[in-house]
Amino acid sequence: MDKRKDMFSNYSSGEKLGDNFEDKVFSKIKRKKRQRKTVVSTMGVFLLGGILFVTNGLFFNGTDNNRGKFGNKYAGRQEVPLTDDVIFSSSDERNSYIIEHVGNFEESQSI
Amino acid sequence: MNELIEKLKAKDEWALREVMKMYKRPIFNYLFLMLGNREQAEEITQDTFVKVYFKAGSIRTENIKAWIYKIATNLALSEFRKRKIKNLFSLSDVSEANYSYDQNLGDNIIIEEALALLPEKYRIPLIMKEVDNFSFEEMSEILKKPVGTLKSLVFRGKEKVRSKFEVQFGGNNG
Repeated sequence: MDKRKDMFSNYSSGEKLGDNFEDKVFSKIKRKKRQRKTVVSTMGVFLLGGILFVTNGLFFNGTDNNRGKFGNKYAGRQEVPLTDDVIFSSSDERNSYIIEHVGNFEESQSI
Repeated sequence: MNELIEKLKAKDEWALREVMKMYKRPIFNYLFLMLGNREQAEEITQDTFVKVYFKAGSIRTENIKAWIYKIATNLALSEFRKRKIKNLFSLSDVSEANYSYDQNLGDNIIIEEALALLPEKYRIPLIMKEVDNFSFEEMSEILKKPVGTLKSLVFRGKEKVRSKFEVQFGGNNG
């Protein structure tokens, strides 16, 4: 009975911890720190990419809105201001021309 | 001890070495009895101290022993779940692992074999109470079970080990 009473209190595993136990723990800590750094930098890169994506998206949206002021009809068309003088050269001996407003076909018809 | 905890919180390597000096052997014994495998016990003992280092900032108790055992217990339980050790655990593993024991350590083999046969729910509280001398209150904090439940589990666990012990030594020793 006494033997049974003390059986647990006297227990000590005959197994021994391997050599350099502490060193193994510290090398695991170093590895984990490195992994954490990698995860943090990867997340940082993704976050930065995300911010750039969102910022650029907002910028382009703003430009489109400005274009929208002129109406959808002309959206995407390039405007070329006519500032240069127009020089005519006649090949049919005429020297009188009427300069008409040139516009959209539908627009001209409605006029 | 408070100074040690404070240094540990500040991730001081000396503090971790001191903690390892104090607890590596008891934690290893505890895990070895729980898992029945030397390599796994050592691996999880190492992982326990790695967690101690990284989680030291969140220590909210002065009972560092209970806190470290809680970490070790949780790691061992997740190991149980992960590898289904409960089903794979075989008595022969324990016996083979202890062939080198001398006669004086014969009882240890019986304890290990008896514990190996115990279901996990009895094994953990029994080891904590009888081998690591935790109070029921500390065990309740670590295992998150009511004191009454733990008392009952330890009692039943002891009975089961006792019956195994009696089979080994015969009725004359009782």
